[in-house]
Amino acid sequence: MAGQHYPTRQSMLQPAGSQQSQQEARHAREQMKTSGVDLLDSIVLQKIALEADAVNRSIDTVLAKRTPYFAEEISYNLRVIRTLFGESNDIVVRELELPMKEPVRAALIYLSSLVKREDINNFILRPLMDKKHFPPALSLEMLYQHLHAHLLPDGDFRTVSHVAEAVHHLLEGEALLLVDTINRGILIGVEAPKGRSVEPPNIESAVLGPQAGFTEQIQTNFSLMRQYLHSSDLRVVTMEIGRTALTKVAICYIDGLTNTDLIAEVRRRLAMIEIDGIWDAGMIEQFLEDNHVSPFPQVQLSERPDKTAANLLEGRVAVFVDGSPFSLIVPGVFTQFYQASEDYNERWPMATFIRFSRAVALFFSLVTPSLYVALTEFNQELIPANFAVAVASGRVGVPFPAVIEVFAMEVVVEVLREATLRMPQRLGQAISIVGVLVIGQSAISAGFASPIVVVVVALTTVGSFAAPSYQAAMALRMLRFPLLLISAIFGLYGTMIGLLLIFNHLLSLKSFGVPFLSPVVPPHPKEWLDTVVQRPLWLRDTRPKELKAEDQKRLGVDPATIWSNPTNVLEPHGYLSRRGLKHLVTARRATRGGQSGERT
Amino acid sequence: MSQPVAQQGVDNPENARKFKKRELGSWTIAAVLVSTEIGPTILGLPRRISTLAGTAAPMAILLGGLLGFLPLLGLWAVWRYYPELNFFEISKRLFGHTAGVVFNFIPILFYLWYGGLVAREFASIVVSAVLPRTPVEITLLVMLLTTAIAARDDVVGQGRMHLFYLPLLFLPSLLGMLFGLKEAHLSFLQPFLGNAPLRQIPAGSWAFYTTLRGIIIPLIFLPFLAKRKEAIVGLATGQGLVLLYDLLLMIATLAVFGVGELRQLEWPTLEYTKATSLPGSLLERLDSVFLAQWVIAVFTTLLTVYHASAYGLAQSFNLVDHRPLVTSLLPFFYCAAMAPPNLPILYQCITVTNSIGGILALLYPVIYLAVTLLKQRHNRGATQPQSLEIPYRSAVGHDR
Repeated sequence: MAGQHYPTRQSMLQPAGSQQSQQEARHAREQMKTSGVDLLDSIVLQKIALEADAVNRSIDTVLAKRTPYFAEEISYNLRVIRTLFGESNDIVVRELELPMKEPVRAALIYLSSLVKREDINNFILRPLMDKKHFPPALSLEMLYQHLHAHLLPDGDFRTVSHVAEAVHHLLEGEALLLVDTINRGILIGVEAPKGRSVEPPNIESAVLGPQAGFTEQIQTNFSLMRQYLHSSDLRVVTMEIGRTALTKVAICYIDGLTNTDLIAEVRRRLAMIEIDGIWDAGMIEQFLEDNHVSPFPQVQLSERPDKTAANLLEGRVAVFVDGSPFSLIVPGVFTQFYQASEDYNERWPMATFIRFSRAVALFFSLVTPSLYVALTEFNQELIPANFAVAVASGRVGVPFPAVIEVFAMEVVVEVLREATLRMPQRLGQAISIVGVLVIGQSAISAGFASPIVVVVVALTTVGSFAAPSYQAAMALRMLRFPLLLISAIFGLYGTMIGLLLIFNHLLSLKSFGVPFLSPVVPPHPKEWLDTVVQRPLWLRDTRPKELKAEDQKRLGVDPATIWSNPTNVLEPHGYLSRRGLKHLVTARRATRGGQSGERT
Repeated sequence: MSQPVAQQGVDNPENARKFKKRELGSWTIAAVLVSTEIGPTILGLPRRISTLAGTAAPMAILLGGLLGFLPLLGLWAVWRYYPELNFFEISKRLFGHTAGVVFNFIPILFYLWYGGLVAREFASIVVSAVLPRTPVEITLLVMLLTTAIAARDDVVGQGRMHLFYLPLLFLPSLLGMLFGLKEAHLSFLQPFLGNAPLRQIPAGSWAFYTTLRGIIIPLIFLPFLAKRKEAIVGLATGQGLVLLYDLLLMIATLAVFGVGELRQLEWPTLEYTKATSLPGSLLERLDSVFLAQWVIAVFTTLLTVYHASAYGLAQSFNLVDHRPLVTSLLPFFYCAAMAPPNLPILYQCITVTNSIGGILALLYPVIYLAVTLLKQRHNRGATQPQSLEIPYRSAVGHDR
């Protein structure tokens, strides 16, 4: 923002329309043109010109000269503002008179939908209308100083000389005070707190670990990030994106840790976005991702501040969008699909076990239906003899080939899942029970599907729900249909070809240059311990190599010291490892030395 | 204004040939070699070798594998003089543009023909073993299309694919060999040197040597190595793994079937998997599972050949990108695959092709090494084998 136009005492002393203030205004304009920093201003400027064109031709001349600066005449300023907002009813222009020796006209302007009314009344209007706050000796020249120093108790007190900038702040919920004879607007922060309070995350719930989720308010999300990463190195860089409506978008990273090229690339991709409006992180994701046709998400969505913080510490970059309770984390890799933030809060054997089961669940959700079709239709010889009888007897009376059977049931399940999501919450529960019990049971008794198909479909659906990443589960659920089709044509050979196609795609996929299957391929064997397996935290001494962080070191201690650290202090004569014994002996020696030192 | 960064670096297609992303490691080279040489030939390999070498087949494979390492060593020695260049660029550097292109075209044409035969062989096996009602053209086309899509990736991407599939290629087969060993008879392996060592072992060794196809293909990947010293390690590891695989396969099939029965079986390896069973009778039979797993082996072999021919053509014609050629080569592979009218002729074609390949694989390193050394002698003192020091490494890490 152009913050350099603070009124100096000198400029205040100048009479209206003096040569010097004109010079200053021209200077400011030139600066704006040449600096090129105020991209936003120029965008808003264009917008003002267009709107004014449409609404009122009378100030055309003003805008044609490209001088949307506040004048010293308040009536002119009010006309400009009124013209810009047109017939909107929520813009309030409260005109008043400052009770000085000679009353001075002033006006307070705000959007009633965005401000906190009590603050307006108590902290702006009350002091301004109270005669005792205006000493009789107060001159017109000192008025601004007086307002600044004594009357308006606001930490954000700022002045703007540019109408466009003032409008931008009005839209963010600040109030604008215009005073006759002052050719600036005074901005006072009186935003009403919007949105909901911090609540547990809805999608990424965790058993162990923090229960806080992001909200729609970007400021709240920043404060959550600050809470989880107490570091002055945490950078939150905001920018505005949009053509018709501007939305605040923020890049979050850790300075000195995150790869600078990565930050630059994220910025570049964000800067390229030109769209009329943005209101969710998912919309930014579509502009950020590398491969636009891949079913796999290359950007991770998270509503957990702890997960986002952990990712920033690994060397990733997070993007926040005002109005969205999700952070976008780039670059994304495949292993994140079955990893949850709570894994790191748990002890590693349990976390490994859980991760393993998640990976198996994901695999099931992809291949179970196609394996069933391949085995029953093509490769019956693989099914053990006893079980083959059960399969065959289950399928007695089913008129369709296995693929139609499975396909129909899978479609039914997808419809049910979607219906459960879209229904009002209480009805949703009812319909899921009705769906599962009634449709499954009656499909079997009607001879439409065999019991094993119901098991297969259930396994697929439940498997896809076990994935911590909603996007990944969606991708695999979608891919199971083409896989089913190719298996129905070629049997196991087809399944294998389908899997090959999927894996080849995954192998060639990249997110910001990071191979999607890393650290498996390209291999970083040390990080294989953080894929399906979860190593103890004290063994995670470096950050993921593929992210090329500026600072690789994670751990300040040698893992070996932690391994050998336990000393049986409460059972000193019990068994001690050699290292522990050494530790104990040195500790004792140190204390004894100290005592003997005291004695002599 | 200075040039934008993207125009200066590797991203610029004009510079892409100058800047080879040096990210690969020795295991990738090994994986490429394994991918190339373990293909559909393993299905019929025990029959072919044991027919020629009898019970000396394992010994023949061992010697043949060692013989197969010599051409690799030769080309590796040539590459050491031109570590920045791949095979196709080296031949242009050695023989000049026109002659170099001719020298490049021989292996490219060979790969086009050989790749077609590989695809056809596996497609025939699939049709006769699991999909009797599907036309062979369809299974063939599916395989070729899958490969064509994958072959569009760049060299580093190819290397990553081979590395990813290496364990999937190796471990299930090794497990399968173990599970089948309960039927093994140690006496079937004896005498170790065969009944007529002097006649059988050379014949078997040569037959095995001719099945090895990975002479030129690793040289496409070598310039992308992060550490040049690792080249020979990667080549040796790869050749060692191939040798280990084929040796174990030969010993296992020989111990279970014996020489007499091996000769009767069209695809002994497939028959071998029929004899195996999983503990706990999880699956009744395993042959289809292994056939599905061999899809990977065939895919990787076909991928190396496919990519090598497209990449070689692009390099010969000074094209920046090999991708347009990938699609246009598909009909050639298809025609080569469908040329042999039936299985016996297909196998005759394969035998002849293998022999030609084996001779070429001996000739090429000799010619290249001779020309390189002559050139070096000519400019004596001007160039030594280039330093093996590392002028460039990616900022933090590189592949294995």
